[in-house]
Amino acid sequence: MAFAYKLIEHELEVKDCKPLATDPKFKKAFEDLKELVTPPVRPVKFGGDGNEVTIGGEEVMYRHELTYFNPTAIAVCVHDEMTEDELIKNVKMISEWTVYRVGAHLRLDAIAVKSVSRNPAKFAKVVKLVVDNTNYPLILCSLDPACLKAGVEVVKNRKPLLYAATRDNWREVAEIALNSGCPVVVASPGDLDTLKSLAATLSSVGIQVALDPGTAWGEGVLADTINSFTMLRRAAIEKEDKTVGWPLVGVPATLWIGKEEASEGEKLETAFKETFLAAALICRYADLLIINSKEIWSFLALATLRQNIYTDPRIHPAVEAGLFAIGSPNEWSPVMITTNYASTAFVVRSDLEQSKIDSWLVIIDTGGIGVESSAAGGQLNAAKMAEALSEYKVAEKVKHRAVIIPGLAARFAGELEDASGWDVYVGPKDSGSIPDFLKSKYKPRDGTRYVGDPDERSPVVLVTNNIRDFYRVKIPLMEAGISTWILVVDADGLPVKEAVETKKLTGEAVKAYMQREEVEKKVSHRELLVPEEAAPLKEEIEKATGWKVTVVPCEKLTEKIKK
Amino acid sequence: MVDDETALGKRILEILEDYEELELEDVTLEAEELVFKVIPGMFAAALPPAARARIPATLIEQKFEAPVETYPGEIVEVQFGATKAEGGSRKKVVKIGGEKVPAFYRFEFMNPNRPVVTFDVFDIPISLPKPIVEHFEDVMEDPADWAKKAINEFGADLVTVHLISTDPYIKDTPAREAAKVIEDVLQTVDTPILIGGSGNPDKDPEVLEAAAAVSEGERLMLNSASLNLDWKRIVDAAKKYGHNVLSWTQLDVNNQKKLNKLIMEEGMPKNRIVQDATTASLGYGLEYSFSIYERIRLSALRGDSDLQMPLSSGTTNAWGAREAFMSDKKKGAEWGLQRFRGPIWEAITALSLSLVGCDVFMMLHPASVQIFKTFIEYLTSTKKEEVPPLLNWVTARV
Repeated sequence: MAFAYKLIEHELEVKDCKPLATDPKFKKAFEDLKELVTPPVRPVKFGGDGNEVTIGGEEVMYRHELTYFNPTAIAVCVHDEMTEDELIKNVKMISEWTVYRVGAHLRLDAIAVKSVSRNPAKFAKVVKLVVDNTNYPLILCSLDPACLKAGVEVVKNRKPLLYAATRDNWREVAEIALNSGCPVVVASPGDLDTLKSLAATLSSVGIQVALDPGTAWGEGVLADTINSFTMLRRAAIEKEDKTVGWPLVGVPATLWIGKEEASEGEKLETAFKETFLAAALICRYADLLIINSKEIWSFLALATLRQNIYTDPRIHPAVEAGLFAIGSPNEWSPVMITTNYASTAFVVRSDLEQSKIDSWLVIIDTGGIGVESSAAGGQLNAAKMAEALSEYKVAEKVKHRAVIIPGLAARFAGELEDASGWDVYVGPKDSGSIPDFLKSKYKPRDGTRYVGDPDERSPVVLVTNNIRDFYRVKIPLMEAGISTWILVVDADGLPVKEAVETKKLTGEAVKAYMQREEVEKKVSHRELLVPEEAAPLKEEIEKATGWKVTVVPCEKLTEKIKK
Repeated sequence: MVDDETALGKRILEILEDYEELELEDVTLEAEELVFKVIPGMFAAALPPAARARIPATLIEQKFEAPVETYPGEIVEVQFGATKAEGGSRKKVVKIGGEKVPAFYRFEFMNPNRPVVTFDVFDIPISLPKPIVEHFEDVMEDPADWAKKAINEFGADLVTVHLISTDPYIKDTPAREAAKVIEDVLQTVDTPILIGGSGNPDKDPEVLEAAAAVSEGERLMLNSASLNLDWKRIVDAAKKYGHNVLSWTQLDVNNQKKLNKLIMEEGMPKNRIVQDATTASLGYGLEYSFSIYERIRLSALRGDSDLQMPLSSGTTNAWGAREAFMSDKKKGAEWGLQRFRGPIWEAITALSLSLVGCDVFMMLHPASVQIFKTFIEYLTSTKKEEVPPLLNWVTARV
């Protein structure tokens, strides 16, 4: 069963089943099974020395029907009239280019060595130089069989891909392929009958082929290109035309024909178009691309697109966990938690970005499972969230200790407060409502709050239910380890200053809160510390409550209390 | 003696069992009679391939047959803009949709309309990445000028005016006041426009209603009706004042189907609805959008009548990707020149969705729009450009 599954996933081949492959009495079963599991687009391998690339091996036209299997290989050109330095520099650059994104190191796949000189000896020498400087698979490119033959001699053990057999040279190229065991690209730009004939002829003697139907950028001809790729793939997969059931090769490098003397500007423009054309062919069935530009922005865009298109849609991919800045957050920006299910993280992120909410987003590794399921399944819990807050050093980024958790994870609120020391604010179930939430609900709870373990002698500080003012009071006290009562008055989330100006904070309001919260039963003294923004209310509060009011700037609060 | 020899023979065979091939050197065999036991298939496996296969003397000539399909369904055609004769004041109208086959499947049929680009315009200056601001900073104070520049200089087919200042958290511009911007733009340009709100679900219905009222009969599009707001009010406004409406959902085919259906049940004609299944940009979930757009289009052509509307993409999302917006100073060494990296990010996002059937692209950068429009032109043109022999790339000294 396990073997059957791996066969279907193309992780193993039929020949990996030793009894079936070696015992003559199973020969028919072996052939039948091989036929059954061979994808309609046969896989072709080239390269060696531990660096092999597989192209083709596809089962479906549209990725949502199953998945695409072998990502489009990207080969970059060098040629035999480059100086030795230039050649080595390019070969190293192509082989070493890598970018890490979404859990994978993106890389290029092969080097296409062109014989520009058409001189077999020269070509062989350059191929040797390339082989000595990279372990990447090679594509030997020449329409002259003598050059291909000379090149193959040098790299035979690394099984290069040969480019190309055409209507003019196919017999000689087939000879080289048969003798060396190398796969061959058959090329027939704009003529699919010939392309199919070449494929039929070469594959009839057991040569593995790949098909180049021609890649052109230009009015009308671009349509032919995209249509050829689409038709060939559909013929192979939906019409079961086995003759064209081979990998497809796109050559955006054709854009460089006649660009030998182009200015720097024109070359960059050509690279831009070439990238775009290559991108179109990644979306539309190319299994191998040969490009000429060596621009890292081009590699980045193409490798990223390929990563996207070849992601297995049956697996919900995870995004990277960690702390992410959305917009340009500062030390007072809100902190929010979500999971690393790609869709969830993507939607939360885009909602925040679209609403222009500068914030800190903590993405928890739940193995790529969404909030609701991971909260139920245990991949998301209070300990994990607390751990993430500390591991990603969120406290170093902000001056508050307010963390917003998804509404669907509300039940972890209490436990998370205990485990992390952060105040938990339960956010909405849908990130689309975050702007409203921040406006109307993102406020410290009013009433009696405290720091440490206050008693009847501990000081009492007044503040409004504004995030910034509340934590401006609370954090220094926490850090100094001073047990304190904090009386939080609801002023619609306004800071003290504005609450005083708009009369949301008044002497009467303070009195009402003191009565409601029975503050006089909690402490034996009668002194209320208020931030300096509330100074205008000093007498009003004293009159209403009968308490002594002491005005202290927030930054001097701990100092004052210590005294 | 004989027994010993048999035993030896057995042992040799046992030892050799693990080897496929045995080469004997300096051995002389003396025998009167030698018997070879041949296992079936043995020679085929042992002989070199060259001897096995004979390359045909001539090409095995084949015909490639275009794999043509038929589709029971087709996409409705939606028209943006109404001329004087049609009750509006637009000099130009833009038609999208009407597809009978998947995007650019010209070997089956030439779809009637090509995908179009609508430039984003905002009613107040907003913070945009530098490569975009460079092109528009002289007009960002005035949405009408901004729209004009996008059309005249950068080849916009349409513009989308986003009334973002109406957001209570931004400027809270009253709906009626914001609607004046729409009147301004309509007086300045003669192409149809699309109207966007601020994205605030409480305010948008009111804003779009007011904008729809001041542009009665112009056949614009209201962006957008979605499940998280009072979509009925928006649909009713589109119906009452003769506009199209955008049915917008988030990366979910079933929700898209559901909302389209609700909007139709509300009495909105199908050919006045465009759908937007949400664009996740290159590198940030593009594969979701790619497959969802593709599924929607294929289902529609296969006959699902709830999905047979043209598709729209908020391609501008691509500028939210770090690869697009981060400066050369920060990332140039690792990612290359932003001058190319930014536009290509937006352009590839558009390109990939155009290939799976998307019809309208909201975009921002002139260079992305230029290459994307060239691409569409090349794919849809009935002319055929002369190109050099393509195989010459092999000997191009570049």
